[in-house]
Amino acid sequence: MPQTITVPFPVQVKPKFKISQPQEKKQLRVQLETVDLHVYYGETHAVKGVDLPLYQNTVTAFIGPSGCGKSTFLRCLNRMNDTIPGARVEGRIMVEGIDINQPVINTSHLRRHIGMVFQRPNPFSKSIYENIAFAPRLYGASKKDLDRIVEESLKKVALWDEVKDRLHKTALALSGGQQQRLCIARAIAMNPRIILLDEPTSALDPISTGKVEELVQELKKDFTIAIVSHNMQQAARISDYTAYFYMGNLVEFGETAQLFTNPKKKETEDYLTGRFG
Amino acid sequence: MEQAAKAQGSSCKESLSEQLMKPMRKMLIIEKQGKIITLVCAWVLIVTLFSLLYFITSKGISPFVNNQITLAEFFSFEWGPTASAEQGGPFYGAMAFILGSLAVTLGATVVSAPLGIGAAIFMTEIAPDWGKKILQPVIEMLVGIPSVVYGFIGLTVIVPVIRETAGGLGFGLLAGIIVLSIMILPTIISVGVDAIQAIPRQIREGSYALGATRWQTVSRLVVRAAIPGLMTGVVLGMARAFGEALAVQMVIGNSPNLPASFIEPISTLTSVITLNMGNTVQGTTYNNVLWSMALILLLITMLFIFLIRFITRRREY
Ligand SMILES: Nc1ncnc2c1ncn2[C@@H]1O[C@H](COP(=O)(O)OP(=O)(O)O)[C@@H](O)[C@H]1O
Ligand SMILES: [Mg+2]
Repeated sequence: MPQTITVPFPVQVKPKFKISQPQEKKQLRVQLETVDLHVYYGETHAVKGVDLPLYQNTVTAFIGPSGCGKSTFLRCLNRMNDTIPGARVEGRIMVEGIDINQPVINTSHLRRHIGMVFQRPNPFSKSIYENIAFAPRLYGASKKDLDRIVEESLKKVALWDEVKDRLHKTALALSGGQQQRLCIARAIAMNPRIILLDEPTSALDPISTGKVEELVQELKKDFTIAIVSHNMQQAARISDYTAYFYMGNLVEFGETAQLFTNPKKKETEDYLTGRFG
Repeated sequence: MEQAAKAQGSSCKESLSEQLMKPMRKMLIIEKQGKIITLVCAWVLIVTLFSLLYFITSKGISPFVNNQITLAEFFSFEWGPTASAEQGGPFYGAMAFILGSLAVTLGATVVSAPLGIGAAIFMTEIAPDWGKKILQPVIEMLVGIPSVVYGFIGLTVIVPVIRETAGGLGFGLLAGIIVLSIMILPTIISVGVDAIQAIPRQIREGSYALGATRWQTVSRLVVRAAIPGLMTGVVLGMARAFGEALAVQMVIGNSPNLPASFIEPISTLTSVITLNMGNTVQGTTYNNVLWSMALILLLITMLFIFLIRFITRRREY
């Protein structure tokens, strides 16, 4: 590529929006790390050799144009791509010294530790209580434990006060934002290490979006979070680290404040400033 | 381009307000036409249905209102429409047939509902590949096989097997149950497959993402959510079994016995009606009693439908 155009590079991108400032430097532990990760859907090469760490108790945002492989990459991390016929994942995904991208890994147990929340809220057509009790019950939680887990989980997502009088009513009657928070509560009921969120606010109104964003900030105290966002402002607001994907490649990864104000790569800058095809 | 411009030009002559205030006569006519056509369709259906109901009901209650027989006689167990007056006859008790119809229907449902639902789960969840490619077309074909073929197979295969293994003549409740089970199984399966496939993928994903296994997901979420649809298949099967005449009549034995044994010949409402309708004279008590049986058949079928509606109505938590 001829790099003849003289752009003062790196430029200072004027932040049009609030960017979360780096936390005071403390020793960060790597919670999960991918090594040369490739994903194929039949012939389609959707993720092309991504190396990326998730640091403990931080929020990492994945941004990039739609179709660039963000969801695909995210779904590798708890082996959800196993459920898609024809999907093939190659490379290593290291979690606490274990490569979880091996056939011997028990994906059910893995997904207890690495929970996931989807773009469209997908509550089960059961009661609010049963939605949260669903997974703990599979692992033999007692009635007393379940009551406690349901209450704690709902409190953590700030839904308890809104629904405590109708725990045994159907979850489908909740608003979209409430349903999404219920789905997050359902995920944290298993007390996972990592929570993966795939555009969790794209089907929500601005107020519900705000609540979920606030919630993510709360949750990172207890969990490690990876979030796909179609919205750069959102990524800038809520994440500590940002990864920019383009056409299946990880173009740039870094601290959010640095990546947004002072990107190292020209492509990243073009995307952030909207000078992008 | 030119045409577009012309079209625009012509509409531009009128101001927007003129356009908007123009009466919608043309549109209204089209609206009316659509309304009338669908209304006619609906009325044809309603009129047909109610005249049918009226016809069967009036025929069915005529032996009672004309004091030919009493309700108690009709619901008794004694059947002897040709018995002479010296024998105390004729007797028109249809209870044995009502019980026969119920027994053969319930038996067939008990056999084929679990089998059919299990097969539907297998085809959609366990082996969707060859389930869809091979089993589904096969089952759709099975639905279309005429009942006389099932009856014929029952007559030539099932009846002899029962005769040899269980004894008796081979004709009877057991043969009827087996033939009807095979006959309604495809209905239950194909409706069930549709019901399970209609459960959105997001629900399954949500469950997998919580660490549920495939079987846990299927048994606790997918099948539960599909229950109304599965039950619809079962009811359709039951209705087909209850109303089936030909195949049943070929293997049931056609003796007016109570369905007390699996291998003794019995009769059902349908088999009695089909066998005797042509041999009785219109207006006679015998003929009218057959209409009463048809009415009972109709009422019990309706009862099935209401019962299942009640069971599968959307529950509020
Ligand atoms: N189930 C699938 N089967 C085949 N191709 C898929 C599937 N899911 C995604 N893809 C392809 O993989 C690429 C990445 O998709 P995705 O990860 O959904 O992108 P993003 O989430 O960044 O919008 C796209 O080209 C898409 O068409
Ligand atoms: Mg996506």
